[in-house]
Parts: sequence; C-alpha cells; structure tokens
Amino acid sequence: MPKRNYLGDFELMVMLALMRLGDDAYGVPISREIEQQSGREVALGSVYAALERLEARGMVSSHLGKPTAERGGKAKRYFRVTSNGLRKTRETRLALMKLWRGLPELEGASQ
Amino acid sequence: MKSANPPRLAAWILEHFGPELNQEALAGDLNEAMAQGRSSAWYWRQVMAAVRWRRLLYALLITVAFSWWMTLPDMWRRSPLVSRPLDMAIFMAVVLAAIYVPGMLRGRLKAELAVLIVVSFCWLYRDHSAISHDIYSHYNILAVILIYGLVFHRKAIAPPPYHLTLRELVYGDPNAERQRLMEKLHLAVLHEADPEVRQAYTEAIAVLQRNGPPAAKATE
Repeated sequence: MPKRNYLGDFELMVMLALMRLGDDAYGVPISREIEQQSGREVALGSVYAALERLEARGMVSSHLGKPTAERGGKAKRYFRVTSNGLRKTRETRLALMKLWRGLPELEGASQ
Repeated sequence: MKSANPPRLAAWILEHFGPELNQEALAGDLNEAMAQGRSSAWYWRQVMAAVRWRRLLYALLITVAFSWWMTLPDMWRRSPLVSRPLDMAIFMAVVLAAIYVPGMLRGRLKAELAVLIVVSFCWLYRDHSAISHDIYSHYNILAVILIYGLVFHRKAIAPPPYHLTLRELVYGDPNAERQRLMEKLHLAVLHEADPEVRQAYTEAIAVLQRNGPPAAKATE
C-alpha cells in the first residue's frame, strides 16, 4: 500500500493550529483557532479524529492534563507537534507552494 | 436562557458511542464549551458529528431484535419468551456474546467460535424438531444475529482480554484503541527505514506508555 506523505487540508489546519497554540493546545483552543482563522464551524469530533490519525502517523504526541470541575471532572488531552510532524508539514507546504507558483488566477488573491 | 449542563441524552450517547481513544477529552471539551456559553443545540451537533454510527446502529439492531424476541409468542409453545426464564437467559447470553466477544477475538479464532456456538446452540435445542424444519424459527434468527456479530462486527466494544474487569466487560474498555494504536506504532517502528520517523514513532509509544490506561487510574 502506498504511504501517505502529505497532509490533507484539515490535517494541515490542525497541525498549524497546534503550532500556533504551543503548549496550550487541546481540543477547545484548537477548534477555536481553526474557526477564527478559517471562518467556519469545526466539529470537535473531527478535530480529535484528525489528531488520532496524526498521532498514529507519529506526527503528533499527546499527554493528559488534570481534570477540572468546569469540565465535569474530565481531563484535558494536550497535543504537540513532533519533529516528524514538523518535517511533514514543511514538505506539504513546499509541495503546495510549487503547485501554486505560476498560476495567474491566484495572483493577488491572498485577501 | 442557555443551560451550562449538557443534555443528558446527548452526553450518554457520547459516552457510549463516541470515540474510544479521546472520548473523555472530547466530553470534557464539550462541557467546558457549554460552561462558556455554548447552546444545547451546539452540543447535540457536536455529539452527532463524533458518534460512531456503525456501533450505534448495531446496538439499535440488537435492541429491536431483543424487544421483538421477548414479546413474540413461541411457535411451538405459544408463549412469549418473557414467560420462559431459561430461554431468556440463553438469549441474553448470546446477545451479550455477539456484542462483546468480537472485540476479544481475531480472524480465524472468531470464525471458529461462531461455528462452535451455533453448533452448541443447535445441539442444546435438538429436541425441538421445529428448528430443523423451519428456517424462520426464532433460534435461527438469533444464530444469524450472533454470526453477524462475531464475523462482521470487527470494531467491537470490548478489547482483547488482556485485563478485562467486569465493569470493562459491561461498559467497554477505553484502552482498546490505545492498545491498537500501540501495536500499530510498534509495527511501524519495525518497518520504517527513516531513522527520524522511527524516532518519532518511538516517542509516541513512550508517551502512550507514560500516560497509562485511564480506566486503571479511575479505579484506583
């Protein structure tokens, strides 16, 4: 079976959100960050599904935080990007930039 | 006015049919968002997006079959199952086996057990001649449900039986997905040629081991 080298668009968004959030990356801030930057509502279940896939591919690692009363006694799960994840994100970015380059339709359409 | 408490039914659905690996974290995130002012409708939408539909449908199928079986009069005794405790106990045991056993077994062993159970079932009821002559007999339908459960229900509630307690047997084990992920990562380490990627897999395994099983923590 061919190995998946590049990240899907949602996985890429999750990886970038993780990098932006640093040490405080868990479900709520990750989905909020994606919502704020992309302008669309994000299902937390989808965020966790993407994070599970990324963790299975060794691109993200996680650890449990402490449970709090506000969360009904449930612990937070913090995520961080691994060195492998960082490398794959760079590769995806590079591939996308190569594909974007030289397309007149996309010139000046960054707003 | 918005309530800070999540809808009970939605919370129950999430607990029983949500993702195995991150169910607790997801439930906590949803509670936190509710406390910050999200609506019940939002909570429901989130739960519906997170539910594993195959598992939910399978549970519904079993529930419908169980209700139907209990109230239907038996074709040779003319009495419903609820009036026959032994048959009802056998039925419940088979249904529970169909739900939980698939998660404990794999591949050929699972198929062998399905055959063994069906053969035992037929032997136990060999005195009832109606079974062998009528393919619509209740017990045949039950056997079909069981075979379906054993052979096709691959992602079951219960995990392989490495440390099953009674509570885990009844409610399922949140460690099942973690164990599967660990196995995958161990395999990936063995087959990965790139040392950097292999190191990342090893890191992920260490993190999984360090966090420990949530069920074990809860019972301490």
